[in-house]
Amino acid sequence: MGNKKNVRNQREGKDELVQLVSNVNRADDVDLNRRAFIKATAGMSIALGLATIPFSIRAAIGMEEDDDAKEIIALDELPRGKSATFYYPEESDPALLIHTKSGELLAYNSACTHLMCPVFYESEKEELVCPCHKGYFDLKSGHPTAGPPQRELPRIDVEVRNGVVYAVGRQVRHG
Amino acid sequence: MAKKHLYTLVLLVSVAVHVVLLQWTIEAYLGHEWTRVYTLTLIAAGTTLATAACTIGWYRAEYRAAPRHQEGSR
Ligand code: FES
Repeated sequence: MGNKKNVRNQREGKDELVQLVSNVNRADDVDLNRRAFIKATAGMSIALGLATIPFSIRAAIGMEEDDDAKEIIALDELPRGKSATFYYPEESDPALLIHTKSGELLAYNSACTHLMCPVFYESEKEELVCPCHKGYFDLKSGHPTAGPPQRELPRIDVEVRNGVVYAVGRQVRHG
Repeated sequence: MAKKHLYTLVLLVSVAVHVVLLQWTIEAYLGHEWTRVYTLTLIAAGTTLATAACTIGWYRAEYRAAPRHQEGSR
């Protein structure tokens, strides 16, 4: 009887509960966990390092942007303090042309740099507002002034030719 | 022994470095700064190679050490 009880607590015992004991061999535990930890660390580090490669591949594939002039709207259809939506450079890139109260023409891509909600022109306060999470952008520079957005809105260069406003180029990062 | 610790330390630091590099790469990608994306990927490729070399070095140092657990080794 007494013998059987002892056997339970030994490594090579026949008792079905015997394997419990190999779980609590502390020296083994510490050693194995340390190795596993270092291996996991190495794997994670290499994976993170390699994760930058797809961005370069995507950049190499989609790099050329055609920044040709594109008609937006006739200037007299856009009074001061109003804005118009257009798409530039692609049909999938919504943008906002703003005729400020002081008569300036400004244009930005209107997808919020936080989570891509549309940004609106608030003519009362002359600022750009994203209603989703209360993001605010400076009207003159397109840079975020409050709320979650961290990056500026891409600025679109505009030109007026014969009373018609054209988009002629875009700077994603500026200022 | 000390060499093994050095490898471990380098591996830990490399995780931090790669997290930062990845974050910068994504920022540059979203900002369409293609040259920056390429530069960062190049740097990351270099440090990844160094990390791989370091991992191999650690394996060598670690498993050359006298085996302490002969019985029931897993
Ligand atoms: S999407 Fe614009 S603030 Fe969140």
